[in-house]
Amino acid sequence: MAQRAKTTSSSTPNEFEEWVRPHLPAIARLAARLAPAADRDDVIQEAIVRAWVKRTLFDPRRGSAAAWLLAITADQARKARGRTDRTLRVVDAPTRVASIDDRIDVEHAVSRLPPRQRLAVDSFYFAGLSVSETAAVMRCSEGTVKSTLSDARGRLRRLIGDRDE
Amino acid sequence: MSDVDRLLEEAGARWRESQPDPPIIDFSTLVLPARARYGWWHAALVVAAVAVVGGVVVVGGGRLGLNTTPANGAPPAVTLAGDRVQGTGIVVIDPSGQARLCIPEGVRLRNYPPGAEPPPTCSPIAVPLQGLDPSRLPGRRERDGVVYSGRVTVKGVWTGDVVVVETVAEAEPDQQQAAPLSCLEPAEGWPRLPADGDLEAALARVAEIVAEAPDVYAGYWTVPSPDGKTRVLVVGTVRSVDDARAAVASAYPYGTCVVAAKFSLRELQDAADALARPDRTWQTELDLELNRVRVRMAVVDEDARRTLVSYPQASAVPLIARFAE
Repeated sequence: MAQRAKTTSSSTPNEFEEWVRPHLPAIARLAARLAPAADRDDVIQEAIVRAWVKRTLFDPRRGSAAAWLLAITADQARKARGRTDRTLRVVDAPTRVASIDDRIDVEHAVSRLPPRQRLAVDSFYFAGLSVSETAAVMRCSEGTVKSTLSDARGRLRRLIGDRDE
Repeated sequence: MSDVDRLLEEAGARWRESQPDPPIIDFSTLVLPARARYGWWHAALVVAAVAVVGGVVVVGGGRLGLNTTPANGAPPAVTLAGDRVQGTGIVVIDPSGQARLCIPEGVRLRNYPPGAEPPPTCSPIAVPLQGLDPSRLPGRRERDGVVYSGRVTVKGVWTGDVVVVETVAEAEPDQQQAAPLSCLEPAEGWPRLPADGDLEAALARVAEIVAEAPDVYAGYWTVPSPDGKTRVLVVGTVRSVDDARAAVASAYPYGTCVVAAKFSLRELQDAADALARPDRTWQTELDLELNRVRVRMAVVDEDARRTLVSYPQASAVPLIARFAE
């Protein structure tokens, strides 16, 4: 236990704050990206609370603090998205207007990816995570992240191409 | 860089630029989170953390709860008027002068400049205090007319409605203890953990196995090996330990310890769902390692005792409880 407490290096709120603060920008981006219909700050709050409760389980031999915190954030974002999905289900989806620029094209195409590919793209390209951090979020190996991103790019190429035709 | 790669890079950069700054967090109230119910997967992972810290969550009677409500299914002790009690949490005194000992409402998280955050808010798990001297509050702070403390332990007499305060002291640090591993160490020692990705994938497989059979399993968690060099996956089951060991071994070929449990994950989750109150005056969480549902509440009264008697898998964790002098 002593070893675990030492590796966590966050046994008090102040220490925990020092430990978490450098990763807040990435946590915020991931929360916003993975649960766009939810309140970003609520997702972050839940993630921080969960991380605090789980802090003794952090093991630096299994990955970086950033990866660990981002994986927790992704879990909370998934939960938040589930809640908002249930809420939004009763609301008519707005009619989508034609894309007017590449950004909308890309965003629209990303929204049509299968869930795992979309998660990889959202985490890597949009939230700006590294491959290893994306692997933590996806709970898979870095090799799987790379192959999923490759598959996603292939699919996006077809989707964007389809729209152009 | 391919065309799609470039488009994604550019779209991602534009999206990031459009994002607001991350919120400023006041970690000072990060004492005890308000917890909601969890799904199976989440229960398996998150609540294991609670278990690993020895059932002692930071505030509000983790230890008190365990002291007063045995985890062996015996009914919890009722706190009666006139009892000397103690409880750990934060003290919040509102502008009208009403003082409460409470579990704070999670962390505050909004875009406030440092030092300008609003005062903490009490969760519904709170008890009124009487006779408190605000000027002698440990870690005293004041903002917007609200006086509040750091994490403190209050001792006093319970009248049935309020605690008449005798002492307020800074709370002792958490005591984090992992339960000892109940399985014998293999002759060759507990295996070292694999690379991150492989480990995550194996844990995901275990999570799936457990999630698909909540009537068979009682969750999983990890504990450090006795030499502290690795971690061992512990899986609880209410059925055949041998069958569970075989099922888990195929998914997780590292150090595994399968233990018999009294209550299945479904029984724990059902109790947690049934006992959690919508007004959050009772909040539940699964403690997989203890194979119990922990029910947080302000105080164990007779009604609480009667209710909990029907749930042998539940243990009360009151904010205040009697203490032995």
